[in-house]
Amino acid sequence: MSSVQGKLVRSYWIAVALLFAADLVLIIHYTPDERSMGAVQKIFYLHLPVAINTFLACLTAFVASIAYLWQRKGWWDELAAAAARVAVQLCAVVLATGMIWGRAAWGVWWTWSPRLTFSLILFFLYVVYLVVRSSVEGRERRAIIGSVYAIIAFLDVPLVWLSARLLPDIHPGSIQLEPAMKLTLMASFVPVTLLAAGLVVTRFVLNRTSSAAANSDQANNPREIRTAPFVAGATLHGPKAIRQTGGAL
Amino acid sequence: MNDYVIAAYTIGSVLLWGYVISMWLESRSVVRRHLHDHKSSGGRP
Repeated sequence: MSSVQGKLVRSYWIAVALLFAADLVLIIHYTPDERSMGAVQKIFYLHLPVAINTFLACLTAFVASIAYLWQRKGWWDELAAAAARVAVQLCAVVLATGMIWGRAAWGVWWTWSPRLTFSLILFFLYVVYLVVRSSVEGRERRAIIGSVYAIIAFLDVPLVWLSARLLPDIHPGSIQLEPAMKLTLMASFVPVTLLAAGLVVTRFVLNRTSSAAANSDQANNPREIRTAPFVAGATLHGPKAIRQTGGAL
Repeated sequence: MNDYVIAAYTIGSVLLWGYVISMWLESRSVVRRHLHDHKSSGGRP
């Protein structure tokens, strides 16, 4: 990675952090409290964008897995693994913020309503995906098993999406928002989506680094390995560097 | 500001930005180890 690329990457993350901070200021100082729930409703401005981005990360893993099975190109599998890893992280945020909101709104941290149950299942499905990947020997075998699993795991996403609409559920299916609230919600999507996209791309490049290292190790070929994002102006060479990169998911 | 809102945004931010920082550290450690190894091998690739 050149120093220019490194600067661009750092600038990107600083911009996302600033947008995230600006969004927090917007939520705290600009957005009015909802009439029935009060200030607790403001959790919604983090919860919903992260939930939508969880679905997008799962969709990315799903599409990349289909593409891998179709084309058998390794980078599709690495993209699926990166998206799944980020989906787990995002889903953890969805569950945590949802539980806090539930405690304030319903008086309980958790209830086995359809949407909450399917969301928890989604979290564990992708955790298991990562565990399965790390336990399968052989790059191609791991990619095939991972791809098939990711395609099946994605079937839970429409269940999460539709559960509150089609089944009797304590979780709100839709919510009426004032214009100022709609604006804040739209604004909240920007930093969260940029952050999620940045996480997937960064994880993907780290996966590529590990994969290139593993390939070079197998071939004992001292080829150049490009470094991951954040770090400018450095490249790895040779088997020693290959051993150091490990096998990150 | 409501305590629940503060808790939700704190936990959410820690989980999201903590993962960003962990990947940044992962990238740095890979390069640092490489540079150390490169130096100890006498500069040979």
